[in-house]
Amino acid sequence: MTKKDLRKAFSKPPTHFHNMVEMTLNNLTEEKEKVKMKKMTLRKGLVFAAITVLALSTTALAAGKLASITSMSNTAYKTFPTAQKISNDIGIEPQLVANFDNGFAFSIGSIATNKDRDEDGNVMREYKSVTLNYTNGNAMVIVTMSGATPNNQDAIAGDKNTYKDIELEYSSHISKSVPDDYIMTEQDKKDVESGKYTFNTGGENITSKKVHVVAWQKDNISYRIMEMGETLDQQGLLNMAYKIIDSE
Amino acid sequence: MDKETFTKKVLESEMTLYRIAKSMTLNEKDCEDVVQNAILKSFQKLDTLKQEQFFKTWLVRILINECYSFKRKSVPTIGYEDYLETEDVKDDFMVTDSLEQMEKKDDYQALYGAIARLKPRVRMAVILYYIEEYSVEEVKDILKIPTGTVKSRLSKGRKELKAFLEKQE
Repeated sequence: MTKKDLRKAFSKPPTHFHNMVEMTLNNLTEEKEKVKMKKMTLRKGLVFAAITVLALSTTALAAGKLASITSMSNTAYKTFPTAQKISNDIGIEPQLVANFDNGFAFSIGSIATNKDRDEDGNVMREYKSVTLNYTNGNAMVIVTMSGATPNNQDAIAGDKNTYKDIELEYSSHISKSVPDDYIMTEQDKKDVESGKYTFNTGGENITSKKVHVVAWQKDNISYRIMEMGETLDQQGLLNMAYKIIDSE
Repeated sequence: MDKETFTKKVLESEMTLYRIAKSMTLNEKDCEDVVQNAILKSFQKLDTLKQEQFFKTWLVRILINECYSFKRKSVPTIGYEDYLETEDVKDDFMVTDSLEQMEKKDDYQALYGAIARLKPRVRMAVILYYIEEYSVEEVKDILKIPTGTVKSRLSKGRKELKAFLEKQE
């Protein structure tokens, strides 16, 4: 047994590992702000948004099936940003609302770099998004905007609504947040397959929450407004979406 | 050190980061997580690096702390034998065609298994000295343990590897 033999016991890092290193390095901020990493397991046929993520895929899916999204974000906006500021940061000029009539008000915002990955961990697409958090007491609503186009194949099969000629889609599911070292049980895998649950790693404990989302597109920008919890009902969340559409 | 140099140096150390993290976590996902944490922490603490020429050793030390932190937090939910059955070990070895190469692959698999069976602290000393080719003095500095302890861990590791591999033959 030689040192060379010992080295060969490990061989080369897999592609997925190298991709992770590159993504981590690409997302380092000069300000050295704390960066957060979120990983999500997607349920079959459904792409959903989580706290820091807008994640929908189109053409890149031809190369493989979207299996997970990794998102790295850093706090970028401690005060309410202008559309021009967001345009400078990620190249889209979205419609924005600072305060909603139902009491939700802007608290903090972040920019995320998202990567859609196939089942082998290969990056199929990379894109940026902006997430603005709104709070009302302990409740939180998250609005995510991106220039990435949604994927029809994986479109959310939710309730459709039309407002000012814009089609909005409402959907809901249960999201389980689990620690990074959580190992999925066979039942968990079945629940993901059936669409009963989605899983997010990065939590401190195992928690389950209802997640409901309204998604729409306008002027080549994808919007999603999401609540993790049940402070709002379907119409309450839709009303917030309408307010964004009405804003200039 | 600027971001560009940091990125270049991390990429140069990628193999070392992978081998150390994989040897301690024993699976790809956890390996990625500890390496990612180590990269982020090292970038945040970059101001504490006094001499650039010791960057790799400094980074390795941060990674090892992450590995130990991971070991402390993780609850063993899957045994090593189970791990070998469930983990796709094919990716860890070069694709081979000939019978000789296939036998060689089995040897490396047995060797990997033997390394994985060592106690974590012994395993870390073995990895740093035999695989990453640090000197005993460097291993002493990285692990912050006396020279005698490094030597005894290496001796123990050698004996256990030898015994295990002989049993396999």
